[in-house]
Amino acid sequence: MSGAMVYYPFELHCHTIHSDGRFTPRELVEAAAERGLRGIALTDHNTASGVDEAVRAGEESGVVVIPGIEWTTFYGHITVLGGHSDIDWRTVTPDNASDKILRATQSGDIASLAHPYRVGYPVCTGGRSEFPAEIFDVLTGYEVCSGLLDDPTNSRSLKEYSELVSSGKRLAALYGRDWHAKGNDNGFGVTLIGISGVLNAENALEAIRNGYTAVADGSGHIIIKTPSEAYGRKQ
Amino acid sequence: MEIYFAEVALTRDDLHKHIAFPFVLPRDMSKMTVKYRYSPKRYGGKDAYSLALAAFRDAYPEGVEPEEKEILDELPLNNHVTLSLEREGALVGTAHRHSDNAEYFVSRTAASPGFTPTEVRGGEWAVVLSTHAILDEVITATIEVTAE
Repeated sequence: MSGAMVYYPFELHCHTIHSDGRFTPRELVEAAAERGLRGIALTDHNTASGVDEAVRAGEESGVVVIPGIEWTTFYGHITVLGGHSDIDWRTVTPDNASDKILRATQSGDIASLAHPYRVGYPVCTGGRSEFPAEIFDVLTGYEVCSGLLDDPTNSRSLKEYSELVSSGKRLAALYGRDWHAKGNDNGFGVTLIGISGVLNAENALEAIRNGYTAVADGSGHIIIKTPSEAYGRKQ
Repeated sequence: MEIYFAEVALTRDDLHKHIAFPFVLPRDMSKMTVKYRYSPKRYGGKDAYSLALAAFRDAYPEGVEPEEKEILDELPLNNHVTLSLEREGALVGTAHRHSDNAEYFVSRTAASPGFTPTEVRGGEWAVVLSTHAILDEVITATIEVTAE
């Protein structure tokens, strides 16, 4: 990457009819364009079968589409972006989650913990993470805010994220709307991704790997930025 | 052509498992269709509110009590079983939906959302049920596979 860094708004947690969303992949991309987003990640539950349609729609509308999947396990949810790995979601357990994440990232993907403190079983199975703390040594990112920004569980995620990066973990601060259907956009946020050079999926992934991210509200006001120090850079 | 049928009782002991139902497709075909349904979908137990409340309390920050409306908005609680399809041990796809009565297909050139278009070759296949939520003591699931 080269040139001045520009922060672009992305939505990194989206679902379509390929899992339990209401959008077709094309409708999702069109809704993203209407919201003024410059990119999305398609993270259907346990499948990537909608990616091709979304990428085609993105190429036509100028919205960057990052291929992805959400490992929707019984024990927690992890978004895996990049489309390089093909790990069977059913094999991911608390005992081997770190190894599976490592395999995904070594294949060229990035992996992030989704909604760490969402209300869990039996309201939302795996909604609240039960993965061991070791995963924070190998994850790329952490959803510090999920869904509505004022959801009470986000305060726990924000607190845990601050503790993790203070203790030296390299984790990019991410937002995930967990977008399933068109509706009122008030109260939701975006992930701002700082990219130098061409705006495309690979550069967006590289920016997340290097911690050039921030979580902002719908107006672009920053809520939390990935601390540079965690990546060996001065503030 | 009918290929496979199963009716199975799933209990709370089966929670959070991936239960395989293997079958053999006797010869190459052009399209496979899998129907499945399970019942009940909605959990009618009297402890539903308290189960949901406990989940909210577990997730909310200390000192923040969930409001009654938040709990009620999540009721009724649901049993949730998703379906995957395997061929020769490899995952063909997963339909992570909330429907309790669905039909999916695969063929060489097309497939239902969630699945990868796949040659319907003779050999070992399996339907796999993943039990994300089993709240009732027993839920009954049926699987029906046909091919043409």
